[in-house]
Amino acid sequence: MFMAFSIKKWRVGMLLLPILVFLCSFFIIPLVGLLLHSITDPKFGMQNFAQLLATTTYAKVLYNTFLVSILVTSISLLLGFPLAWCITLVPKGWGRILLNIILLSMWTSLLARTYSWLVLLQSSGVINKILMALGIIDQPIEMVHNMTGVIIGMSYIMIPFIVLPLQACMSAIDPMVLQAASICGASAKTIFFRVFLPLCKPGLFSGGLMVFVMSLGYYITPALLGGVNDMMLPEFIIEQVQNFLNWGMASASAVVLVIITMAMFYVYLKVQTDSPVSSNTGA
Amino acid sequence: MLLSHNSLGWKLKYSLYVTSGAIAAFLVLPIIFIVFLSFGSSQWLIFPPPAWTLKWYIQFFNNPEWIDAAITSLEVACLTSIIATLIAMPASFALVRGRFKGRDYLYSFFTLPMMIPVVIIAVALYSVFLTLGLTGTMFAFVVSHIIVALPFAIISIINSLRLFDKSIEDAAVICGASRLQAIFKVTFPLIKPGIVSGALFAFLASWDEVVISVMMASPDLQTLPVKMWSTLRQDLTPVIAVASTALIILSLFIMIIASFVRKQSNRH
Amino acid sequence: MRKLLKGALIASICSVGAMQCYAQDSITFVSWGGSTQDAQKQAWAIPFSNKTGIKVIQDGPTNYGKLKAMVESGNVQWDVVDVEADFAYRAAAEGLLEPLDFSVINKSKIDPRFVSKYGIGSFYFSFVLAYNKSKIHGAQPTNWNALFDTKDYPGKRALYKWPSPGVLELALLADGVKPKDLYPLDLDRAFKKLDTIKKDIVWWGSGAQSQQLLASGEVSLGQFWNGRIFALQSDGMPVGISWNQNLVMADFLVIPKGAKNKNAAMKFLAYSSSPQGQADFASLTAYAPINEDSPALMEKGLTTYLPTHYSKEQVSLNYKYWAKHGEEIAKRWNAWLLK
Repeated sequence: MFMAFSIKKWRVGMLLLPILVFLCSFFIIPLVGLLLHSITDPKFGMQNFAQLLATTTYAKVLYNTFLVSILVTSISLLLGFPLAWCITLVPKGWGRILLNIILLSMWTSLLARTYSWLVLLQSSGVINKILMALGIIDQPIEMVHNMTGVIIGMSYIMIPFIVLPLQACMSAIDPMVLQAASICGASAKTIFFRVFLPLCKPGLFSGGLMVFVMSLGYYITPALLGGVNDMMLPEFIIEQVQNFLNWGMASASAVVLVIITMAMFYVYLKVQTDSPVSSNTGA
Repeated sequence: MLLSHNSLGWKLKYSLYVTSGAIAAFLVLPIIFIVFLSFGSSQWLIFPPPAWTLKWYIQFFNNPEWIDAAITSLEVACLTSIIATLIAMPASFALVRGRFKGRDYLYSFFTLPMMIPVVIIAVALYSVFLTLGLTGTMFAFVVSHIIVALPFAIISIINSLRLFDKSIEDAAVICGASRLQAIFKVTFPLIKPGIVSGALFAFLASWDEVVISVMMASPDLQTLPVKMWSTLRQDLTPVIAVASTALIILSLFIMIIASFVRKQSNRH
Repeated sequence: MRKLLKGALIASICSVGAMQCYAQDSITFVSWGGSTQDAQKQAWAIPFSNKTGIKVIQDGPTNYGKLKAMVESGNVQWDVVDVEADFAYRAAAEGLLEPLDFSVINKSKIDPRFVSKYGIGSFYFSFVLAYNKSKIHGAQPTNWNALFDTKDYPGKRALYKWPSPGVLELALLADGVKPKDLYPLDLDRAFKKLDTIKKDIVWWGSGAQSQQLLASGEVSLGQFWNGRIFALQSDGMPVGISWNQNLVMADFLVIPKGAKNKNAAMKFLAYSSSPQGQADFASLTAYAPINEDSPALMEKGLTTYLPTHYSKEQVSLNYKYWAKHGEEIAKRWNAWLLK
C-alpha cells in the first residue's frame, strides 16, 4: 500500500537536487580543499596525524570535548523534558508563557547572555554574593573559568533546541493511547516509561542530536566562561589557525573529530532498530 | 492520562509545574540581568553598580554602526532562514518518504556542517570567496550562514514529518485530491510547527553566528555579533547590554501583539 | 543555469577588478578595533589623509587566519596590518609579508628593538604587575614574586592565556633568573614555578577581559598590559601598579605580501612611525612611542604613565626567539595546561 504512494526514484532525485548542489559547491569543495592541508602541509604525508597522536594533549582535548558535549546534552534533555511536557499539557496560559520565555531567551544575543552569566557566576558575582549573604557558604564557589561555567552556560543555551522539537513530538501523540494504557490497568510509572517516553523518542532524538553535535564544535561560550585547563577542540583549532598558521594541524584535528563523530553515528544507526528518517506510521 | 491536564494526578501535576517554573526562572534570569546591566554606571560590569545611568543608551543611539549592524544581521538572518527552509523542505520529504538505500547516511551527511568546528568552515569558505572576489558581500554572508543553518532546518522538518500520520494525506488522495494538493492542503498545515521551528533555528544559527561572520565581514558590511564580539574583546562596554535590551523589548512587543491578535481571532 | 552562474561570477569578478582601479588612492588599515584603533585613526589616518590625499579605510579586527588566506589566494585586501611582534617575525619567515622600503620610511630614530626588514613598530607596551587595592592587605606587591606568594597575597591571579611572550619569562624572573640569562628559556624551570600557582590562575584572552577581572575583584593581582591599567586608573578604580621588571612587548605594522596599494602603504608607515604620529598616538593611549624623538613632543604629565619612563626597569621580551620556537613551546604549554 504505502509503496504505491511513496515517491518515485526520479522525483526523489529532483527533491534532493537543490541541497546536494548547494552543499557540494559551497561546502564539500571548499572543505575538502582545506582539509587536504592535513596531508599536504607542510609536506605530503601523515606527519600531522602522527604529531597529534604523539602527545596526550590532543587526546585530552578530545576527551574534554566529548565529555562536555555528553554532559550538556544530558542536562539539557533533563531540563527540557518537563518544560516541553508542561507546554503540551497547558497550551494556553502558563504553557504559552513558558513558550514565550523560551523564544525570548533564544532571541537574546548569545554573546550578551553568555556575558550575563559571567557576571552572575563569578566569585564576586551576584549568585555568590547572595549565597554568602544568606550564610549558605563562607567562601565563594568557583563556578566560572572552569568546566562548571562551560556546562552551565552551554546547557542554558541548548535547552530551547530540545524543547521545541520535543514539544512538537509530544503534541502529536494521541492522548487516547495513554488513556488506553491506563484503562488496561497500567500504573502511571509504567505508562510513563513504557508508553509515553518511547513515543517521545523522535523528539528526544532530534533535539539531542542537534545539541550534541552543536556542542562538539562550540566555541564562543567555552571561550568566555571556560578555563584553559579544560580546553576543547574548537579552541585548540583556533589557536592552530590563528596563532601558528598551522592549517595542517588544524585540519588534521578536525578530520579526526569528524571521523570519530561519524563512527559514533554509524554505531548508533546499527544499534538503533528504526532509522532516524523513517516515518512512524509508514515503515 | 499523562497528556491530559485534568486526569494527571495532583502530586505529579504540581511537581511538574514547580520544576518547569524553576527551569523557566533559570532561563529568564540572565535576560533580566542584562536589562539591569544596561543601566549600570560601571563600565567593568560590577554588580550592583555604583550608580544607575542612561549614558550607554545615549551612546548606542548616537552610534549608527550599531543600528546598521543590527539591520544587516536581520537581513542576513531572514534570507538565510527562508532559503535554508526552502532547500531543506524537499530534501526532508525525499528522506522520509523516499525508499532508497543509504537514507540514514545521507541524513548524517546533511548534519555534517554542524559537526565541523565552525572555524574550519570559516577558513575554507573564506579562501574560496577570496578567489572568487566575493568577500564582504551579502551573498557571502548568506551562503555561509545557510551552510550552518541547513542541519537545523533539516532535523526539525524531518522530526515533524516522521510524526505526521501519512494515512491522512493518503485519505485525501483517495478522496480525489491530487498528491500535490494533498501535500499543500493537508500535510503542510499539519507539519507547520516543525517547519516553523526549523526556520526559527535557521534564523538563530545565522543571528548568533560569530566565527564565520568575523571572516566574512568587511568595513562596510558587518553583523551585530561581529560588532559585539570585537567590542567585547576590546572595550568591555554595557552598550552591548543596551543592544540586547533593545532586542528584548522589540521581541516582547512582537509577542504581545501576537497574543492580542490571537485573542481577537479566537473571539470570532 | 550553469551559464548564468558563470556569467554572474565573471561579472562580479570584473566589477571587483574595476573597483581596484579606482582604489589607487586609498589603503585599508587593519587593527584590533576598539579604543586602540580609534586612537590610530585619530593620530595617524586622519592627519595622513589630510596631508597626502590618500584615503584610509579602517577594517578589523586583525585576524591572522584571514591574513594567511588572503596571501594564499592572491586576493589581498589589506594594506597595513597591526600584528603582535612575534607574529610579525613568524609571518615574515612564512613568506606572508612584503619587505619594507626604508627609502620611504625613516628608521634612523626608531628604537632598533622595534624594526625589522618586514615590520615596523606600531607602538610598544609593557606587561606590568597590577593589583586591586581592595584585595591586598598589608604591603603592596612590588615584583613578580608576589604572583607566586599565595600566603601574603591570597586570591586568584590573572595571566595572559596564549602561549606567547610574557608568562614564562615572568615565572623565570620570579624564580631568580637574571634578565640577561632568560633566553633560551628554561621551560622545565618555568613550568615548575608555574605549577605552584596553577590552580589559582585565571587566564585572560583579551584586554577587556583582563580589565573586568581586575576591576571586579575576581582576581587580586596579575600580569596586565600597561595601557589597560592606565584606563582603569583614569576611571577611578582602586588599582595599583608595579613597573619593576616590566616586560616589553610590541605591536608591529606589516604589509601583507601582494598588497594592492603597497606604495601608499609605505607612505602610511612613514607617517605612523614619525615623531609626531607616534607622540599623538601615545598621548591618546598611554602606550609607548617607538620613535625616540616622540617623548619630547608630548605633554610632561602623561609620561609617568608610559613604559618609556621606566626604561631602567625594563626587560625586553625576545620575540625573535618566540617567532622561531613558538610552536614547540606551545606544545609543551598545552601539555602542561591539560596535565
